[in-house]
Amino acid sequence: MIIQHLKQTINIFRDNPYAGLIAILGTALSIAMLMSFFIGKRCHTMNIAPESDRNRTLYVKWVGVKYKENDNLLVNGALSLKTIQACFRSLKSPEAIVVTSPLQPRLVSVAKSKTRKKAYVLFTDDVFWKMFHFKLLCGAPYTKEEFDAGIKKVVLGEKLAKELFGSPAGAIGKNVQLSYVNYSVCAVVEDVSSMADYSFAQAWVPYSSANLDAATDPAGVTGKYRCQIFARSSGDFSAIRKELNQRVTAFNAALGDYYIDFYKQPDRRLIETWRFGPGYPGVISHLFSSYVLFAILLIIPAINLSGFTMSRMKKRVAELGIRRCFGSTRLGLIMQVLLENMIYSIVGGILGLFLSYGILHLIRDRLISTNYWGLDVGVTLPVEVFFNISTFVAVFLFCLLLNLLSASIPAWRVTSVPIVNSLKNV
Amino acid sequence: MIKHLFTVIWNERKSNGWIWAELFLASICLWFIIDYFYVLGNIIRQPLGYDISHTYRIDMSELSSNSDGYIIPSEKRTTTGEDLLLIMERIRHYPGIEAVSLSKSAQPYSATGYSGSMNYQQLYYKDTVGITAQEYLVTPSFFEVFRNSADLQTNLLLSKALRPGAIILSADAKDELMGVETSCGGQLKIGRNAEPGTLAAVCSPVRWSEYFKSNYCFYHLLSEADIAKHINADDFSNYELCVRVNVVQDVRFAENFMADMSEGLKVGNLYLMEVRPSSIIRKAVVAPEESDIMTRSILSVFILFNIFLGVSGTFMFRTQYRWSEMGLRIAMGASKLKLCSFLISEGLILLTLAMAPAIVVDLNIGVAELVDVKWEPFTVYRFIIGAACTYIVMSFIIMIGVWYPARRVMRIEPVEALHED
Repeated sequence: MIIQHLKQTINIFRDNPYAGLIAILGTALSIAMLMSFFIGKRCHTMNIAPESDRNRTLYVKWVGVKYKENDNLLVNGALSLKTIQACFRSLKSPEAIVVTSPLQPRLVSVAKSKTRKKAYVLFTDDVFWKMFHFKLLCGAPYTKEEFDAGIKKVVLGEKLAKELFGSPAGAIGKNVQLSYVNYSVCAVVEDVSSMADYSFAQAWVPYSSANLDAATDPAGVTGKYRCQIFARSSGDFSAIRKELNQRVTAFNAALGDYYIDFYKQPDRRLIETWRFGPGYPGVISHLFSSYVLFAILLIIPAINLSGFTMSRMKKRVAELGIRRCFGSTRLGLIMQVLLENMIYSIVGGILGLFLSYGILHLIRDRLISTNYWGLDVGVTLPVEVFFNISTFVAVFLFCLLLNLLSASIPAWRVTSVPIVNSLKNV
Repeated sequence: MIKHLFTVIWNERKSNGWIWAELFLASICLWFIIDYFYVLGNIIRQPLGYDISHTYRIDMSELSSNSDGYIIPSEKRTTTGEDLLLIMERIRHYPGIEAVSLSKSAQPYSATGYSGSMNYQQLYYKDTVGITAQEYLVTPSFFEVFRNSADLQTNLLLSKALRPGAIILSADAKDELMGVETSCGGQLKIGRNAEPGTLAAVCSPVRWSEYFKSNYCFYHLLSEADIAKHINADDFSNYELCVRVNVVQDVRFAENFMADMSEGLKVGNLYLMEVRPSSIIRKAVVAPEESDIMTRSILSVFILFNIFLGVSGTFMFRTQYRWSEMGLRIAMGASKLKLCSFLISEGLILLTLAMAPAIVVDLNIGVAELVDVKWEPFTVYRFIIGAACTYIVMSFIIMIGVWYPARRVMRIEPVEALHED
C-alpha cells in the first residue's frame, strides 16, 4: 500500500517537477529556519560533554547582601567560600556540590622555552572531576587530599599540552608557569567545547592553590565562586530547595545586620542561561517570544505551501472520485492525500536540517554564553549539538505539523467535491 | 486592455482577495526590510575616523603576590607608570614598529557602549550652553597609530598640535559648539569651572564602530609626566597600549613579538600577557550587531522566498482553474505571447492595487519612527527609495512566480482546453 503511494507520488512529481521542487524547497527553508532556532536554543540547555548531567543540576552564581533593617541592598556578587560552606556544602539531599571560580586569563610559559601563550584557566575543586565527565588522555586529576593541601597541580587541555610539550603523555610531571606561578602538570584531558560554559577552559587548577578569595563586603558573603548542585534526579529539586531554605534561615540569623538573597536561585539550566544579572529573568516573555517565533515560522510557509498542494490536488479530483465510487471512505482519501504530501515534507525536512547546520554556522556568534562576558572566547559547536535524537524527533514533528497545516485544508476541499462532479472530468 | 484586465480582476474578486491580502502584507514586510538594509548600507560607507589595519594592542598584566619575581610594594622603587614608560621605550626599538601609543578610553572599538569604558565631559565655549563630548586621553603618537585621517601629513600635524593644555575637537562637535566659521585658537573649557584650554586643531569625527553614528568627541594630552605620576597598580588596566606595525614587517607579528619580547618586557611587576590584532577587538564589539544583521538577512530570505511561494502557488492554482478560459482565449485568436503578458500584467495590476494602501501603512510606520532611526532620520527621500525598491523587487518576484504557470498555459492545445467545457 505504502509502495503504491510512493509510486504515485513519484509519478505526480514527474508530471510537474517544477511545482514539486518549489514545494520541497519551501518546506526545506521553513524547516531550516525552525531547526536553526530550535538547535540554537537547545544547545544552551542540552547535556553537552563533559556536562552530561545538566538536567539534574542546579546553578547558583549570584548572591545579594541586604540590610535587615530596611531591605536596602548592600552589594551583589558571586559567592564566598564561607557562604558556600554554610548554605550548600552542608546540604544532605544532593549527590554532590561542585564549586568553581569563573575563567581568568593566564600567561602560560615553560622554563627554557620561548613559547608564551594566553590561556583561560578555570579554578575548581576536586569534586569537579567526578561530576563532569572529561575524557582523560593521560595522568590523573588532583585528588581531595591534594586539593585540601592547596598543591599547585594543573590539568591541561589536549591542544595546549601539544603546543607546550609536543604530546599529551610528554606533559605529565612537567612544570608550567601560569603567569609566573609554578604548577606541575598532573593530567591531560580532551578539549572541551565552549558551549559547556561551566567546565570549559584550556587549563584547570585547584582554586585552593590560587588565593583568589578576598572578602569584599563586611558580612563576608560575596566572593569569587559559583556553585552547582547535582541532585540525584531532577525530582529532588524541590527537596533541595526546601533544605536550602532552612540553611539560609540559619545563616541569616548568624549574619547580624544583614541577610542574604539568592534571587530565587538555585536555577534549573533553562533559567540559568537567561540569568545575566542578579535579577530574575523574564521567563514568561522569553518562552512566549520563542513560541510566537516558532508559530510564525510554521504558519507562514504552511499557508503559502497550501496553494501548491491545492494545485496538485485539483488534477486528481477525477481519480479521487473513482476511488470513492469503488468504496473508499472519505477519511481514507484524506489520509492518502496527507501521506503523499508527507513524502514531500520529509524530503524537504532532511534538506532543511542540513541547511540549518549552515545557518547555525553563520549565526554562531549569537550562541555565545553570557557567562563569558568580557572574554574573547569563540563559539565551538560540538557534534552532539547537531546529531542527537531530540533534534531528529523535532525535525519529524515539525514536518508533520507543517504537513498537517499545509495539506489538510486542500485534502478536505478535494474530497468534498460531489462524486458526480468529480467524475465529470474523467 | 487595462480596463479589460480590471474587469477580469473584479470578476475573479473572490480568489483575488486572498492574493491581494498576501501582497499587501508581504509588501509591508519587504519595505521594512529594504528600508533597514538601505540605512545600513549608508551608515557602513561613512568614514570611521581611524584605521586599524596593521595595529595591535599589547596587553600587560601584573604579577600576583605568589608569582616568581614579585616585588613587594615596600621594596619597589619605581611607579607602575614609570615601568610602563620603560616598556613603551623598549617596544619602540622592536623592528617593524612605526609608532607606540598609550591612551585611556580611546582605542577604536574599545571605548564603546559595549565595553562601558567611556568618559564624557561637558565642553563650554564663551557663554554657550555647552555640549557633552566623549573624552579621549591620548599620547601624541596616538594619531600616528590609528590615523584619524587617510592623509599621513594631517595625522602628523594633529600629533604635533597635541601639547599640554591643547584640545583637539572633532569637526561635528566644533560646528555645534563654536559655529561653522570659527577656526582654531579659541578658548574652551572642560567643565564649567576648569582652566580654559586652546582649540589646537580639528579632526575628523570618530565613530564607535561601523554601526554607530559619530559622537561628539575631543582629544586631550596624556603626557609622560602624567603617566609616571598618576598610573598605579589599581588603574593601569584602564590604559591601552597600542602599536602600529610597518606594512612590510607585519607578518606573524603577534607570535614573533610574544616570543622575542616576553622577557624584555618584564619590568617591575608588569609582564606581557598577549598581543592582539585590532581586528580581534573589533570583532568582539561588532559581533552582536553583525549577528543581528545576519539573522535579519536570513529572515528576509525566508520572507522573500515565501512571498514567491505564495504568489507562484496561487497563480499556478488559478491558471489551472481557468484552464478552459485560457483555451477559449487562444481559440478566439489570442497569441501565446499576448496570453503570457496578459497574465503578468494581471499580476502587476494586483500588486499595484495592493501596494497603494501598503504605502500609506509604510508611511505611517515611518512617521511613527518604528523603523530604524538611530542611523538616519526618516526622510521623504529615504521613503521614496524604499517604496520604489519594494515595488521593483515585488514585481520581479511576481514575474518569476507567474512565468512558469504562464508557460504551461501557452502550451495548451485549444481543443483540449475547450473539451473541459
